[in-house]
Amino acid sequence: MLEIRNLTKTYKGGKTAVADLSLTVHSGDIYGFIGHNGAGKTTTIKSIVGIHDFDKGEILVDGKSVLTQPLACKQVLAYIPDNPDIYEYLTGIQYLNFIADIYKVSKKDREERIRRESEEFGIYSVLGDLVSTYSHGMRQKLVLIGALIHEPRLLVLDEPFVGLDPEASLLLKKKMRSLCDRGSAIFFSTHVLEVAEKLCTRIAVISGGRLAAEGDTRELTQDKSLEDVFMEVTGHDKAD
Amino acid sequence: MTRQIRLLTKLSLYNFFGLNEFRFTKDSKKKTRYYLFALLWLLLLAMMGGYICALSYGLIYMDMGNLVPAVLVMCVSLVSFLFTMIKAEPVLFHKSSYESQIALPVTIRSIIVSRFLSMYFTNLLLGMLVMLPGMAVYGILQHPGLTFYLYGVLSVLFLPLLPLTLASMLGALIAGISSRWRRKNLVAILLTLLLVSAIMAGSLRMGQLEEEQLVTALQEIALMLETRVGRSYPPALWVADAMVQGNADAMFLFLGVSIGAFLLFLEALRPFYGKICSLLSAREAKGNYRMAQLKANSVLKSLTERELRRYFSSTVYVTNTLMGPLLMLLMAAAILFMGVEPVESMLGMSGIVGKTLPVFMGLLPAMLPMTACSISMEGKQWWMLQTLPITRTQMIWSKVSANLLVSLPFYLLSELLLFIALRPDPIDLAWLLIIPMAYILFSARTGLAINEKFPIFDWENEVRPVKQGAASLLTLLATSLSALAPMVVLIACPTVPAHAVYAATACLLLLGTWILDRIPHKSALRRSRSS
Repeated sequence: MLEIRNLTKTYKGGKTAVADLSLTVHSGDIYGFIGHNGAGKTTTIKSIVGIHDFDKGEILVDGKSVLTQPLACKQVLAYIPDNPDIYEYLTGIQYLNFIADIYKVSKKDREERIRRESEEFGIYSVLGDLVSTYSHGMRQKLVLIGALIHEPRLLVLDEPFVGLDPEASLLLKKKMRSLCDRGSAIFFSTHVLEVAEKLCTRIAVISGGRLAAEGDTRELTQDKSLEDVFMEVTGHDKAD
Repeated sequence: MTRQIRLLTKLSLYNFFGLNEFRFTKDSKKKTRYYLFALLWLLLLAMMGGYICALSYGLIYMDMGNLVPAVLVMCVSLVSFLFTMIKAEPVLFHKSSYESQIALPVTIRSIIVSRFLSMYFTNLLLGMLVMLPGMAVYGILQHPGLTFYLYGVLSVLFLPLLPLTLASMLGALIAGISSRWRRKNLVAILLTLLLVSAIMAGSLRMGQLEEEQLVTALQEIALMLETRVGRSYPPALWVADAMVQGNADAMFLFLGVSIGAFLLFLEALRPFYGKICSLLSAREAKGNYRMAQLKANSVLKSLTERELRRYFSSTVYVTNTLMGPLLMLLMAAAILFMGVEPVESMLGMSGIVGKTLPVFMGLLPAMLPMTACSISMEGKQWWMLQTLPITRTQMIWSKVSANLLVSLPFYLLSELLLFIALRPDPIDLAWLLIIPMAYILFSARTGLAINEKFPIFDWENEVRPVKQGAASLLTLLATSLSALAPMVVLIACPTVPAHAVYAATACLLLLGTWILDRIPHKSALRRSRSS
């Protein structure tokens, strides 16, 4: 579903954010992408979703290149950024209706999905209010509902659990599992190693822009915790 | 408190025309853009300086040299007042920076003064730009004493204070009134547009009176000008008295009134400032949504609707870009009620408006189209358009369509008024309809193309992309030049048939729009090209 081949991205000023990164996310995978601050996680994610250009390599979504067929790639993916900066001048329902229009979701489907998801995330009653009145967590939930509205085949999330209350975090994990059970793939970055260890079927560790470890979660951790593996592969001793 | 004011003012000045970014960016392309932007500004400043020198020389040549300081002070004050009134609310009561600053150990007085100072510095630049060349011409030709320069420098420093205070008072009043309404932005937009229109109409009336008197003796004109300036803005005469006649009392009166008005305003606003900021940022949440049948729209319609919602959510965006279409309507109304010649006389453009009416009417709504900053106005939400499955063409036409929809009511109403006023023959009517529409379309597309090339996304206050962005300035230049060329031909070459000029103008504008639409662009939505 997502294939990254030899991705290299250097920022103006000479800093190489990602170097020769390759990984593959299959349908049904919940793929955790972990690393320190500044390791290159967000750069990789922004390259996948079309925000950043990159210097070398190739990114394929559902077999199509994000460089040559960006629209086809965007049509099947959904992106949730780490900071839910969304249109504050729209009401929640206007925002969701806008996203549904762009992804050409039918009236029947959008009504059914918006009602279901917003009730589950507990923001149904405020959908008529302006986004500017929403808290950070509520905005995050709204973006999540917007991302699920067209049932994406690839969901890309940057630090999705930041700002969510425990109940919403639990619900998000459930949604992620259910989406993958239906054949979609999820690629997300996180700092929360416990969540990654429990939720992900596969994990990649990025350090200094390079892939430090990658594989099936169980095979990668074996008898160790993910925290131990992370410290080991990123070259840090675990702090006591 | 001085330290607090200094630090807070420094903070807001860091963002001044993107100076801090220019200083620290390592992006060579961005740096080059800033150099080009600076060059453009220098060019404009030189042009304006030249105009001021010519104006001052003209007055001295007509033996009205004594009026030079008064006229210059009047110019600076009026422009400062108008500019500040449009941006007083978003700068003085900027909600997000208020929330971050009020949490710091600083007084409300420091916050108000620092915001006031950030506006003061812009107006100080304007004051210097107008006053210094005028003073130089006066100094060379009239050989005034030392007090002229001394009071001149003092007046330049304090000149922005009074118009700034008056405009801020009105801005505070508008903010105070609109903060109590549910649709705050709409109320603020309407009040600001109403006030600016009234002031512009008032200043035009003043121009008409001067013009009427131009047929009488120069002495009378001088007296007339003096009375007129004195009656509409007495501080201008105080400064003139101090500079020309070395009247120290007049200078003290000017300084006292300027500083006193500012201090009074500061103390009067202080108790209500926090409340106004909180009310302006307060949003009513009803929490009672019940889903009715949802409407499905095409991608373009949905994008255009979003664009319009974004537009009307920002007071500074609307008041700046709607001024052109509003002027078009005012001009048509003036022609209907007064006739072409009195309007020409009012504008000091005898024999110009009538001869170039279709182009003149087209230039007004085209000067600053909303598209000139519509990409920049996406700000931190730019990621959304980048990641949605939309083509660059859809993005462009949603923005251009929104621009056309906003201009359309003004265009139609203006055309109707002009039709009633002039009863033109079918061919003239056709040009009166085609040329302004071609200008609206051309400026919308040109503004967007320029903004695509020079976007700013990392702004904190909407004033920066709307008023300080290179795109707005370049669009103003481009559209003005596109109107200036046919106007010059129409006036300077009377042998060339007007119909031919109009036909060529319309063709060139539409051709320009078509070409702009076909030029591939890499800057914005580069990854969203049609596939």
